[in-house]
Amino acid sequence: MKKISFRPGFRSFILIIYVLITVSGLILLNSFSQAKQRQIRTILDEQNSIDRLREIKHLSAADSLLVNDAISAYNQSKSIVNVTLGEASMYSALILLGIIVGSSCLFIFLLSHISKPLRELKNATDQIRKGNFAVHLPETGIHEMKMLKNSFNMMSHELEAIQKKLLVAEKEMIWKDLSRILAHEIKNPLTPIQLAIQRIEERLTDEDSDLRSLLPQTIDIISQEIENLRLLAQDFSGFAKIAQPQQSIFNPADAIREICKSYMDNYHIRLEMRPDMNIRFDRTHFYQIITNIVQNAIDASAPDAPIDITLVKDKRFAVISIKDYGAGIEAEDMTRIFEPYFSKKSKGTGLGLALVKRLTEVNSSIVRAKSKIGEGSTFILIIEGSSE
Amino acid sequence: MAGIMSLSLFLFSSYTGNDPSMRTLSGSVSNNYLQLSTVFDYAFDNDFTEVFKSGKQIPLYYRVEVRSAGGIVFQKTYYNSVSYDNMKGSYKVYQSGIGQSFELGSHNAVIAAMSSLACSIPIERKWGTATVALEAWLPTVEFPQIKRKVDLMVLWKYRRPTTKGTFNLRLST
Repeated sequence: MKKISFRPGFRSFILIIYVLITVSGLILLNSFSQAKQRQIRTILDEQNSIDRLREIKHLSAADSLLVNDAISAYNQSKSIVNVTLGEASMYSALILLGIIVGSSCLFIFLLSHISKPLRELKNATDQIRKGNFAVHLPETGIHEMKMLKNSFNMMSHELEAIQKKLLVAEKEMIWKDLSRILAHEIKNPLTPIQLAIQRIEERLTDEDSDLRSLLPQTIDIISQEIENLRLLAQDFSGFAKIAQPQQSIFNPADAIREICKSYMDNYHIRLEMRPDMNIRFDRTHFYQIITNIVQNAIDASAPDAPIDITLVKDKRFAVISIKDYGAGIEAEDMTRIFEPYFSKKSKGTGLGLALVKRLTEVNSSIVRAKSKIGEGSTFILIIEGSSE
Repeated sequence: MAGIMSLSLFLFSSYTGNDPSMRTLSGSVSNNYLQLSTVFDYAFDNDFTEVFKSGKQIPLYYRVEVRSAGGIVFQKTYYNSVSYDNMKGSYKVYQSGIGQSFELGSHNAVIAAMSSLACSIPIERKWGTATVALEAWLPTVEFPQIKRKVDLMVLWKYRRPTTKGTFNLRLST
């Protein structure tokens, strides 16, 4: 059951004080009345002088009867007074209990009537905080509550509209960024292709020039730039459609050695692997992640600088660290390095690390980065180990 | 209702009143009669002095109900009564259950006599094991000299004392 915590507000305090004062007053009045009744009883109990009438001697029969009647009447009156006092005491106590119980029930009813709409408002505010602006409150209850709920509903309407505008603006901005990057990246390879074709054209018109000597170089340039365009398209395509992970169990140390084999000849990569653990991960995604991070490390490092790759076991997790000793990343850029299209390089789409983050997340793992200017950067992958 | 009354009296009243209760019902079977008896405790300790001295006959009623095989096989109401003679200064107590009357001089003796409930009820052996229930109450009386009625149950805080007992009517004792 949900825990209900109650904090009385100003109105509740007033109600509580009013009830306390009323009940205290009634209890006080009752106590005073009870005390007076006790006094009356005491006085009555002390009144036994009527019995002395019986001591009167030499009364006539008629006078004796009168005395008898007087004594009987006195005793009957005293009985009735005692019984009536008892009745008064009992019923006043019963009425007082009834008033206390009744006023408490009324108080609880009123309080729930006040606190229920406030709870509704609190729940609706929580919904707004979580980003659900479609919440609306029924405009019921006392006048002030209706006004409050009406203001709330208007606010949520406006927030909903602003949210929709923001979403549209965000989409526009993304498309603008994408268009800008695409335009820049496509223009880069197109320029050398155009220049190469222009040179061929010039040679074609010049009867004396040797076209054959120019062709191999030109073909190389055009092929290289077409390859760059193809890689560009591949990058965008890879980021756009990330397939559902096909997870399998494998040894990450073996996979990392295999990936680094092609880099070992040209770069100084140092491996420190803990061999005796397996992970459950999509093998293709794993290869893409490690490749992207290693490539980034290579791009950031000087030609002979080492790149350290370590694999350790931390409780049930495999922790892979890839450290470079390059220039490092600025502190204000650290929050953006995993964003799509963010890049400080002169070349590239800025999708590499964004892809690393997406692939890590779809495989239920974590990627983190830390960096220090002048000392280099470390990328850390945390993957849950497999017991199999 | 009695419970609510008790609670309110406990919390907000200084009224003492009386808290009558009956002891366990005792009975013996002989010659097709069941002799029943029990005693009241704390029934007349407070506020009854003037009531008994009022000169009016004050009755105390008690109903005997015998149940056998799930049904009521016998039911009768008896009474004890007291009246005061102002001239003599003595009390006359009558117990209808046993058909006897007493003349008593003191209030305490009256309380003892009025607190004693005894009766002899005719039975049939075929009733076998029977449950006997007894319930007592006070009536509303009218005082003639002052022409006022008073419900005497106030003095018992509107609680009717009861008691029960189970007896094997086939066995003679």
